[in-house]
Amino acid sequence: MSANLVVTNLTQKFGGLTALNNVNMEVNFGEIVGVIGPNGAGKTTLFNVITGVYHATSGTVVLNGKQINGLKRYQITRLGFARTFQNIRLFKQMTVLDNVKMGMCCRSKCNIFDNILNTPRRRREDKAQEEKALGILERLNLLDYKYDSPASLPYGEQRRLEIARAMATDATILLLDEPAAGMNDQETAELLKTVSGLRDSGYTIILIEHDMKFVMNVCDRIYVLNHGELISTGTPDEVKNDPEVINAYLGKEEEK
Amino acid sequence: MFLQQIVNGLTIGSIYALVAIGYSLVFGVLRLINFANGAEYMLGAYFVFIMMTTFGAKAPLAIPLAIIALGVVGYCVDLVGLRRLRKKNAPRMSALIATLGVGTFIENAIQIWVGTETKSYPNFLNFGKITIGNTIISWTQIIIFITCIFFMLAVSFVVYKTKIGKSMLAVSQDQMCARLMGINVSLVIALTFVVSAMLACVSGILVGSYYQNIDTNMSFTVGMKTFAAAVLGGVGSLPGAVVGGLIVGLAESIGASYISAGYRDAIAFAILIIVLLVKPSGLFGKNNVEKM
Amino acid sequence: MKNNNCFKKAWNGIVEFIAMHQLPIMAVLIVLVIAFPFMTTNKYFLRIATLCLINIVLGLALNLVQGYMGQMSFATAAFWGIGAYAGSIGVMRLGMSSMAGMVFGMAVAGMFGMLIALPTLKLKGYYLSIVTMGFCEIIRIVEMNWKELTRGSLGIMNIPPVTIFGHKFKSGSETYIIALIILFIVTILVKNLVNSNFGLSLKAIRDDDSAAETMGINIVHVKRVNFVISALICGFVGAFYAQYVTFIHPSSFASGVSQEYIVMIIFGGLGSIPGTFLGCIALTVLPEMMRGLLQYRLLIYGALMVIMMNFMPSGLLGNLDLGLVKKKVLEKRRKKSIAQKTGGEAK
Repeated sequence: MSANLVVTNLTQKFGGLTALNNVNMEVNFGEIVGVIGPNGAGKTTLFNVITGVYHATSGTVVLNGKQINGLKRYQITRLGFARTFQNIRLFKQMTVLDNVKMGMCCRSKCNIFDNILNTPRRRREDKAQEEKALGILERLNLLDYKYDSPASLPYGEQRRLEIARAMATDATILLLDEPAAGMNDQETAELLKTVSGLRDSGYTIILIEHDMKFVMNVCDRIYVLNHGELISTGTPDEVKNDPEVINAYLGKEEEK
Repeated sequence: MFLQQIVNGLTIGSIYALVAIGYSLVFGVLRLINFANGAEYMLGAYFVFIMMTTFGAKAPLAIPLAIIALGVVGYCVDLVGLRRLRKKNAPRMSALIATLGVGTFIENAIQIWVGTETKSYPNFLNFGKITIGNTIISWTQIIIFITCIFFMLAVSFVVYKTKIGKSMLAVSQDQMCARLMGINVSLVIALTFVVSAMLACVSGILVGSYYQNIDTNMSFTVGMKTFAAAVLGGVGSLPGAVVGGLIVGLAESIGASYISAGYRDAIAFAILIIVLLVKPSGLFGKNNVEKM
Repeated sequence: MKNNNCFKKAWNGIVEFIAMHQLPIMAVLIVLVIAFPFMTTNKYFLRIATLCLINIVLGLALNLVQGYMGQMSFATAAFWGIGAYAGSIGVMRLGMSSMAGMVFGMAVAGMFGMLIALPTLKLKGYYLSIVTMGFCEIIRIVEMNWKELTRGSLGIMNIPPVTIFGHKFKSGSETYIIALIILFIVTILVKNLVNSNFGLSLKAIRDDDSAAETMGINIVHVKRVNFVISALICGFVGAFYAQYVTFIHPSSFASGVSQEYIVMIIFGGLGSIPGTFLGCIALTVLPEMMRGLLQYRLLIYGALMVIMMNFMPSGLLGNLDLGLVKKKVLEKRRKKSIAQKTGGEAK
């Protein structure tokens, strides 16, 4: 299968700090790819570069043969990327339903006059959006909360709502930044089902996660970052047994 | 003539710089524009005015008293307007509105007390003047300039060299973390407001004795100019505030004499727009890296 | 504490009742406001009522920027003034008709809105507050100093009154009706806008602009368009105001005036249309009723801003969304009926 997303020689520097150094990565259509590494390894920076928050110092990010780094953030989202945030960033003064519908705004076909005059086209679109949003909420088990404020939701639900909002942008590639953080075992197990269900319905997923059980169970392939460099890649089993990875996580074994 | 405008520009510019430092201090620590700063500047000037005319106090008594009083006012701005909001982690616009409210309150309190008409201000810095060629430099101007430089250096010393300054820096970067490190965050923030109000007070007194009259519009006009100065220098940067203030003062003084005096107050605004168009981070500002 | 709960329950009950009966309540209110000029012949009352209507329109325009987009703007009075001056000059010097004057005022204000929005709104943060504050003052300075165009501090006098299809609307009750129509249209347009995808994008930008951008919103574009719409509304109603009072002066459009509108919407409710109505009406009528306190009005406003922010940051009716309340009630009823049905089956 041809690669969907190709990251080549990606380097990101902030002043003197090199957050990413020559990172290469390939993600195929329909895969779940994990990005792991100790704190400060550059995982979130990688997401930020892919989604256009930062403009890479050098290197390229190519989606289906088209270079996307250098594009604006909203343009990248419109190409089919959507992400969640490590520190949940929901729109606090909007309802859960509006948070999801907001994700669809970037696909709106209505111009400003449709919006002001509430034309039939706008009303049709609104109806379709509402139905679709309810569908997404139902799928992620959030339907009961639809008119609530996101701040009143339990933590796990907030994380799921972030995924719902990302799905609403009609993304094909979801970037999940620590989706299982702060969840208990049961919630994590549910999330695992949700995420693999998403893959089965055609999403490509890249996720950052510290919960190793979760990563090893759900990912097809894993990239390991340390100090901004890619130190290992492969299937969960390959990565698990890579001495480099063990060193990075546990520290180098003292020579005897 | 041109040289004369430069002298005048530097004088008024150094006063703007002093107020702009106050803005920048608060902005640096809290990422908040303090709309009450202009009102504090006006209050400082009027305080001395009232003490000297109504109560017949002499300048050496009135000025220190005014500075101390403004320190208390600065503390109150934080205590009454902002502390509760910080605790509630309110949106930043709430804080912005609260400072605007405090500013409005102070301005109108003065207007009600002394009236809106222009008052003649006692000049206690009048020691004659020096003439070089056809440029006249009054001692008032020299004293203003030196006073401003003195306060700038003093503030810079506090911010860059002392423990209090380090605490301010820590609070500006991460309040929660600073608190965990044992810094009394509320105190540091209150102190920032106190210092910034005192600087505003000094500037207000200086500007009053320079022009020898004050009116209740002064807070608004100076607000705009020092905003422009702070943005030009890079908001949050102290050297930036100084350079920005001097540039705005010079541009205004030269512009007013060569373009039109009626549009004098528009020059600072023009500078502001140009900076936002060309280099919104200002001369000395850092480009902030956004965190996700 | 118990009392407080009681009060809350009663309030919720009232809100729910209003939400469920929006249409009849609206109908009654609309009939009342239309009937108002026929019930009173007191010119003073009519003038205050008309001012209320104009202020609500301006409040709505400001709320688009401040309440929905989350950026404090001091430009209300500036755009209002630009509309008033441009409209009057259009009618008096360029021979425009009354309506054309209003459209001209609107267009000119929109153009200035664009000029402000272009450099300012590409930036994040609170540059807009500073820039609009200066802008308002500059416009006043220009109105004062460009004597050939604006007659400076003399103001413009004898502006022809509102004329539509050759009919001069001179009497207070007639202009009241025109203002009412303008308010009605503006309210509907603003309501459509904030309930649309555009409105959702605005609210998202207010809550977290970076996240909004990452969700595919061209935030710079949305902010600019919104600001220009707000300017257009202010400009239009400014031109109308000029033709209504027939005399305009730079001091009517100073930045202190902008601040009064900020207080109105903060008091009523940021990001709320009913809140805008309440705030603008209350702070237009109350100062008239308490003339003795007129001197202290701005002092009170200043204190009000601090108090509101500390104790009621979203205003009296902030975040009150009647549509949402209605949906919630319907949802509750639906669930109840389902529960009853299944409960009945179980028995």
